[in-house]
Amino acid sequence: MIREIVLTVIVTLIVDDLARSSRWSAAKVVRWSAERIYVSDSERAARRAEEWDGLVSDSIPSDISALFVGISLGAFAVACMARRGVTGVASRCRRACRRLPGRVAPRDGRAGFLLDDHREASMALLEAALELRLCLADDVQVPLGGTAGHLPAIRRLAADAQLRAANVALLGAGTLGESARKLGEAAGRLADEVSRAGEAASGGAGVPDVSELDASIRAFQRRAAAVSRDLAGNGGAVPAESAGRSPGRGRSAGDGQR
Amino acid sequence: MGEGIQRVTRQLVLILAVLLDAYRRNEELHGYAIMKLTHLSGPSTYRNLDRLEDAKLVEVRWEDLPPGADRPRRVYYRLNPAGGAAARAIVAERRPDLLEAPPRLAPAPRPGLSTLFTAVRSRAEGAR
Repeated sequence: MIREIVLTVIVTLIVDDLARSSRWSAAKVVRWSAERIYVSDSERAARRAEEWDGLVSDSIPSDISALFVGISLGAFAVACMARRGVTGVASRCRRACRRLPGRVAPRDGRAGFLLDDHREASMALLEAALELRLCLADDVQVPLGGTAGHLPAIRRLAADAQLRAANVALLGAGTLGESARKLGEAAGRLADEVSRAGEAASGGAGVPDVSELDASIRAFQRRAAAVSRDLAGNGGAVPAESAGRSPGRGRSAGDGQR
Repeated sequence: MGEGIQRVTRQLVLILAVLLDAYRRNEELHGYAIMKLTHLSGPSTYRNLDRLEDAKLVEVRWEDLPPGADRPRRVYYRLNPAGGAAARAIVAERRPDLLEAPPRLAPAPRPGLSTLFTAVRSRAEGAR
């Protein structure tokens, strides 16, 4: 009997202490979150930090609710950080694509034949794939949404990526075209998987596996950068195995200067 | 209608509806009241409030507290006249039912765990 009373008192004290410390923890988390969410706007970050601190410390009557609000804001901050990471990859991809010379000046009597349309097709493919990736990243970070809400957008973006991939592959059937084809296939498979999961669980599908898409994007980016380096080394002429065209079939110097 | 808002979502319409209701009654709402009225999570609420602020449709006011107050200041949100017009148009188009019956706060707040602990503690102290 005495043991049960002592146990009850101890459990009550522990629960009470946890409930009290939950507000303190939530306040710490929301201040940290505000700094991570509003990275580019320090004035708003400071305002939100103070506002959210007041929210979890005072406005919300329940300790557990305050902790939940703190956790949800913390999760949102982590999602924002992840999104910024994906955006960083996107900008690196764009920079790599910009290094692909569109119209290479004739040098040593040779003209590059990685054409404007080839470079633009590569950039369009990367942008479509990254937009699809960002759309999925959005879904992952929305706690109650799931992929079902964005299903039409995901399908459209995947179809767009496949179309762009086909375009790149048509322009050059070599390793760059092969990477593009794989990227398009990964986008298509991902859209199919999301569609199937959405139909199976109407309302909220699970988090899709984007690892294949990520790997394909990275592979295409590497291939594009390698083609760019080869071009720089070859005085503008892209290696046949990269672009899938023999130099004889490329555009002439006069065409390159149009 | 809502020229400053790029994309009107279901959550944004809910927030506009409660802010519009407060605007009509010449009141202002703090963040937690908006969360309670709309049943939205903290991130969803504040992301949409950010959008409304960026579109310059809401006015933000810090609460004036007397010196030595033992609680943090609250931030109050209120639609400005342009925001009121935009909100009325958007809500009328997307959720006309909310114009007639906007969500209102319950008169008495629900007791949280801290209230329960306080009650149990005071009762235990009274018994002693």
